Amino acid sequence: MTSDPTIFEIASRVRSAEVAPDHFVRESARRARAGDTGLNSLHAFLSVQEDTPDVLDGVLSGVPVAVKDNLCTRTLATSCGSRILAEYVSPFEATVVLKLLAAGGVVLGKTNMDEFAMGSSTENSAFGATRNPHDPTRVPGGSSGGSAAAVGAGIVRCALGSDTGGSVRQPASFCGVVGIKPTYGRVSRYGLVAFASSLDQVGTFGATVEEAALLLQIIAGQDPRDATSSNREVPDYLEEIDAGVEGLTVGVPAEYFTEALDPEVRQLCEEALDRLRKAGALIREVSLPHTQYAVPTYYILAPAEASSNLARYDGVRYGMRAPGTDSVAAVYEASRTQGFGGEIIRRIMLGTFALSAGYYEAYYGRAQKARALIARDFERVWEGGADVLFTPTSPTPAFPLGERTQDPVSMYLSDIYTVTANLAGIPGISVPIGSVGRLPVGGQFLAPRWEEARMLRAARGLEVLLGGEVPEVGWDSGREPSEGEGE
Amino acid sequence: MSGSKDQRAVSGQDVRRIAELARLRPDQEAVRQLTEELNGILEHVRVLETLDVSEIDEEDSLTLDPVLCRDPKIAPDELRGDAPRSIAPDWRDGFFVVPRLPALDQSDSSGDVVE
Repeated sequence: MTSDPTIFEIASRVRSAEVAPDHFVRESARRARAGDTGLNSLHAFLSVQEDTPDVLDGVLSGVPVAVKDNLCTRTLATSCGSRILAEYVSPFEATVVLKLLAAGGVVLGKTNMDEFAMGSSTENSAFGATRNPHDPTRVPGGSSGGSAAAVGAGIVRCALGSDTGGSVRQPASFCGVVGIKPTYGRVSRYGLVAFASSLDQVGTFGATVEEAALLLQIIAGQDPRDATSSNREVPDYLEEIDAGVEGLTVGVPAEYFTEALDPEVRQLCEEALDRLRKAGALIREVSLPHTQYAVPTYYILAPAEASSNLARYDGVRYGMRAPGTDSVAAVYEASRTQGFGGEIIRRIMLGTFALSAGYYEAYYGRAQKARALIARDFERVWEGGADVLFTPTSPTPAFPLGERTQDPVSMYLSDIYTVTANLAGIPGISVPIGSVGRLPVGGQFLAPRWEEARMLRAARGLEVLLGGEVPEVGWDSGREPSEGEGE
Repeated sequence: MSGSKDQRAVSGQDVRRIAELARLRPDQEAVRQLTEELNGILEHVRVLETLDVSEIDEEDSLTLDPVLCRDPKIAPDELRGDAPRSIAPDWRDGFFVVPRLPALDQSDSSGDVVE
């Protein structure tokens, strides 16, 4: 709720010892438990703990942070929403978690997610679906749906997620919060359970742009344990965040505004662009001609990488082992077949096919080249003078639970505006721009690689321009189910 | 893969072979369903066939920064030596002990230790 203190205020009150170090952690834990009881429970968390901060003079001291269940933690299980890793406790902390703790932050709990981050609705979790805090009959988006819902419900002010094809930005849009996917290489992936290693990036959620930006500031930077993390200096993301949008050239890619876009979402995007224009931004139509190839490219490359990354779950080294098997091959097959959910099996099969002899060049090789063309589209737009791009985050607001679970392609298409950033390695942010009924809608800014500061300035600028016109975060606002709906 | 639209990209037999490669064992109903789903997804992916990729060569597809190397210094590794004992369900002679396979009881193998 808007009356809740921001993470800046929480840390300040803890640093000055105005409240006990675990004051806000306890309040968030109470809300997390309250949200997970009764009919239409939110089910954002898979575990909750009440810890005290290690550091009392940090920028995040005493701030409760919800952490997606694919980021390794030593004190709580890291199940990735999967039966095969249920109860698995990591022997080490993910680098982003260590950084969070070093800044005084507290891991409030692990959040629900689509199994191994494969999904766009958080319905693929082995532990049940998370609901949208604004309407319990709808999905929160995915795969970081638990983290987005936890912030959207006002349980925490900020959270960590991961974004492989839109898994931070799309749920942020559906839950009315801010979600950042940084440049590939900006944040360490050490301790992030791998899904598609060339696309995965840890991202942040915040109730506001500034809070998501502060969390990014804390987790960004090189890590010797992740060879793909960059040694580029991390700028101060808050320094120019309030510089406004005047003089910024905002590109609007025509290919993102087609008939696939819900008319009401389009209307909100056009209103946002109008605000930006009136505030002095230069709005210019641009073209990303290979956009239509992005989802097909993604759904070859990501499953191909996943089929390799998930080969390690064999019933021997991690997690569950199927009982009653009598050979090594049978252990592998039975443990994997029983341990993985349907979407995981689908993607492993698709990836194995795309990498198999005789099909490799036609599918994987071709998709790699399509990826290069998609990345080149963005390069040309930046060279043409665009500072940032503005697009819808997802073609529709949150869809009803169960609506797309039987149709994989329709589920995949909800990522149509977000996968391009992962394929090109560029940063993206979803920021609330209004609502359709009570369902929040997000708009997305994209920026050149390493230009998070510019992207945050644009997003913060729009947030200020739209101040008060977007749905509040808070569980109470969405508590009542729609008529005729129930468990 | 075929160019003709009415021909399916994968058959049930293909799906069983892919499952074998992926160490999965779908039952008959799952094979039927996976065949349908994979063909649906591959149909959607077919648009890539229409894409002109002639201007891209292998090097072009590597657009990300070069991978950074670590300093060639040996750092203490908390997971080396006997340290994993604290997190191992069972531990012997520097190895994790995992549940024994029934099949091994019929052989003369003396160890049930897997790294």
